[in-house]
Amino acid sequence: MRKLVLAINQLFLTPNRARLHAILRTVQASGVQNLRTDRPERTTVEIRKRNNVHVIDAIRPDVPVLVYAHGFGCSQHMWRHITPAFEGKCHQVLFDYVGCGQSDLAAFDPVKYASLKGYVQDLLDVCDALGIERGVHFVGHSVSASIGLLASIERPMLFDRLILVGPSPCYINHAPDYLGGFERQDLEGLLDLMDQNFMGWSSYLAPIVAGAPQADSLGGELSESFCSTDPTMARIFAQATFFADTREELSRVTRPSLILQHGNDALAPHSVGEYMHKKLRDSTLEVLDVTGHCAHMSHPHLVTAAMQRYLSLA
Amino acid sequence: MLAVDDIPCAMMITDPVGHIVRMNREFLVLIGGTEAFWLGHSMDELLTPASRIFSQTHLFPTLHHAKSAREVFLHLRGVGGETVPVMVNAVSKRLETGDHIVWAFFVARERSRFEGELIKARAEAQGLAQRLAASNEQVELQNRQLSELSLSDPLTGLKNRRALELTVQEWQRTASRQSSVSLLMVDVDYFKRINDAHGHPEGDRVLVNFARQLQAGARGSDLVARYGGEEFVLWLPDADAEAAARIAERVHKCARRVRSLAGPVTVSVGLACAVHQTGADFLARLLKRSDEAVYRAKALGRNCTVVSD
Repeated sequence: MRKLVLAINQLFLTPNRARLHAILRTVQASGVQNLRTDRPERTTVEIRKRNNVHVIDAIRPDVPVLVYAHGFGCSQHMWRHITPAFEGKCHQVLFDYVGCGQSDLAAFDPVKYASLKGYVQDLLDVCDALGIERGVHFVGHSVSASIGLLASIERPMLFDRLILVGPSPCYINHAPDYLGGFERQDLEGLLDLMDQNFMGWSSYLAPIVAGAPQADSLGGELSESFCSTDPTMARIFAQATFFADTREELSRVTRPSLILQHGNDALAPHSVGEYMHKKLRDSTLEVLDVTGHCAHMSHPHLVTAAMQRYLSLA
Repeated sequence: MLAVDDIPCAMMITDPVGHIVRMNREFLVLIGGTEAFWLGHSMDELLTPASRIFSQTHLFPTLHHAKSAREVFLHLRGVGGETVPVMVNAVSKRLETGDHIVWAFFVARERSRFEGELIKARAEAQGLAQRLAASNEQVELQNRQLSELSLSDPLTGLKNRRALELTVQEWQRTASRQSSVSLLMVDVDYFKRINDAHGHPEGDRVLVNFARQLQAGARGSDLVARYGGEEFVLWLPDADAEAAARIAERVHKCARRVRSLAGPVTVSVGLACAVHQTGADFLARLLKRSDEAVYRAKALGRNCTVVSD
């Protein structure tokens, strides 16, 4: 009888144990501290749905993988002028951060996504869900440059090179050593401005549900419009983005990077690009003759050309 | 022919990335300077820093994508350096000289103040709702505690398990050392079949009727409690085994008087007797013995009483 019970235990416990070990291995490889074993394990399908993952496959399997990460206020659609240039030459992965675009808003956790860490996890989750373990050419715009850099510190083996479009490690001035371009009250003004811009949105003025956690009451579908972002989640993302300071982390990045700076960018002055170039080991700084903050949308040919040169894919 | 300078609305034309190409008179009234001065400057210079970020991260991407943006709220820097709240409409347009963006600005001081109030009110309502939820939770907790403290069974109106415990503790404190007591555990036979065949309302009706019979037959010093689903306990102070056996007989009669759609109702009874003791586990041991007796009664074919030895 006892033997039988043991056998049954083995039968049912073994797959779990194997899975647990697999998780442990992943976690050890990623160097994550404070393993929480109670965290629900998400399946590949769930992550693909949660982050609205899209893959543009190349026919040959042995080509590089480009993973694109959108910036604040937008979604993966912002890359649509870039991806055609790499079709067939690379596998391309696009996704939306939770709370943005067509992601699963019900998965939004206001605590997790209040810091860049939450978005780093989204990026790593997407790679894990697709079974990508190494060789990623990461392309990140604006805040996603920081997210990619942080992810590469956490899991250097996953990344090959990083392409950073309009990056800034810190938007706030820390005179005299660092000029991010803004004072703290400017950025607080931005949050107020967002409130005023999004207040007409139905979900913002939807009835307040007593006691329901914020994210739950926001689980509805977003409109199809570009840059559609739930206002409450956008505010949290804005806070995470514009009050982040990743200057200290730059020296811990080991992967090579290409900094694509806009020649005239209201969000990132020249000094920011130079600062990053100085702090990032093995980095290349290229200034694009572009006014604005979204060269990949306004001047996609300049961005694709720079990427192709850097990745030697021309 | 109407000239742009005659339109009572601040208007501007820029190139696709925001370099100023044309401004009307109404606009210059807002921001000061001359058109010649502003030509070629970036429109970022007209905006407060916060609006500059919003414009670059939201407005321009929207224009790239949708070719137009409506009712965007921004802050201009006014002629004296003050902040001017404006609503902005913009469209991407191909003019003779190439691609441009045409902008219209509506000063919205009143609207801005009003919206500010609305946002504040909403934040207050959110805070209020959270406090309300917290106090609701408190009330619910207290309700739960109260119902635990309550002493009767809501369905049958009999005493509940907690009342039984209190009564027994009281008896242990006050009864003399020579006192004896009996406890009957009564379990309705095949109760699940009644529920399954005729639904829970019928099961409940059987329990309520049976409880009424039991309560009617009880002495003043006895306690009749609903112990679990279809389990009842009779606490019989000063009843020895013989007296308790007679009461058990009456309990069987009570059951027979209950009419059910499922046919005659019978019960199995476990009887345990004890002399006075003070220990905290006195009731627990008595319950255990009577429960085991019920088990044996069930095994003997139900509808009978077994006395625990």
